[in-house]
Amino acid sequence: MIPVALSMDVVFGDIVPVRHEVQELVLWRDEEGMVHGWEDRCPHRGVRLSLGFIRNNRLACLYHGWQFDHEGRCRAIPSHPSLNPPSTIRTENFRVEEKAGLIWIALRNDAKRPLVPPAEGAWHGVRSLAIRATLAALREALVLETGQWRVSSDRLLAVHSPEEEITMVHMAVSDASARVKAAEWLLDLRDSMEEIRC
Amino acid sequence: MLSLNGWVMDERSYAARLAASLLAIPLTIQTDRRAEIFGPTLGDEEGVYGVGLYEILRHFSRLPNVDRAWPEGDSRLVLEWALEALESFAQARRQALGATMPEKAETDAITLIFRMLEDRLSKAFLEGQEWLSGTSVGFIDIAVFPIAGLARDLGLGMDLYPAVRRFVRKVRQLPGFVTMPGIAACH
Repeated sequence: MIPVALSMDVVFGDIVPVRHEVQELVLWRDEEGMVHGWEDRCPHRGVRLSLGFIRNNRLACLYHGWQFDHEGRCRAIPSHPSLNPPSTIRTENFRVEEKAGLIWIALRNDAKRPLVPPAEGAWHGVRSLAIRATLAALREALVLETGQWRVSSDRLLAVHSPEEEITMVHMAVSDASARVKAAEWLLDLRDSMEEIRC
Repeated sequence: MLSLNGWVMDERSYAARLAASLLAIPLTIQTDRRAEIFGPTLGDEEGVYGVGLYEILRHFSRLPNVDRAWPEGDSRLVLEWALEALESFAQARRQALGATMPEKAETDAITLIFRMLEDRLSKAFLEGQEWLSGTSVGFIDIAVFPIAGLARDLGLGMDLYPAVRRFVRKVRQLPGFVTMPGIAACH
């Protein structure tokens, strides 16, 4: 599974765009606290759902206000208020898991990739940082041969790749009081990676 | 009553309107296209108090019913950075919106602004400081908000800036929040 965001960065009311390789996704959290991960595209006119807003505990598209419930089913079309939208109008959904302070998503196109279970335990999110370096370079620097994450002492590091030349590093720590120090370490990592790249 | 001569599409005029609204300062708005170039102007029947966002925010901070401190020391440097960043952002945004053909609006300078903003917001959050200005929303936050709120006009991938997204959401929830074209009211 791909770690795409820290849990603390997706609270109720937030609509979060996420990219991984060529896939564009939207994450949102409903009133019950469940996180949903869908293709970032309204099935109506193709507008990004990440531009949308939450109404009635549903994600609404900014363009025509079509509302999609937690299953991705269209439940309301404002221009046809009396219409019960057919069940075929729905978003493309992906399996999402929330573990170790991170949000992990299973993309359909990763059938060849082993579905490594996400890290376990109680972790406190520090920050997600974009580093201008390829995923391969980051893997080498973090000694991360396979998978998308590793635990190093009291730090959990997870990576995904929004663009070919940009890698997001998500960091969580087991001791909440160590967050500031861990964030400084992450900035040092960015500085050294980008200097190497120059 | 204070009167703001501003232009609806001007980011600095918006920041002045937002400041007045969040700080509960009564203000009338006059449309003045010159603000697009020179920035907004604040005055009343007696004369002009300030031209440009810096002078307007400074004047707001001196009003008797405003309880926000004017940034001093390191915070003043952050405010100056924010105002300069807003100028650069405004220039890039206008170029992008006025281009005859779509073009890549995100220059290296703009990327740097967003990275610095993200780093500052993230640091403040981890240190338990709710806003860039301290414990309550202040002049620094107001000066940088148009940059964060209008980022999509430059086609920036907001997935790279989680702290900026968090900041936008928090400002939107404040009582007295106002919008401008480009910042949707329905969120």
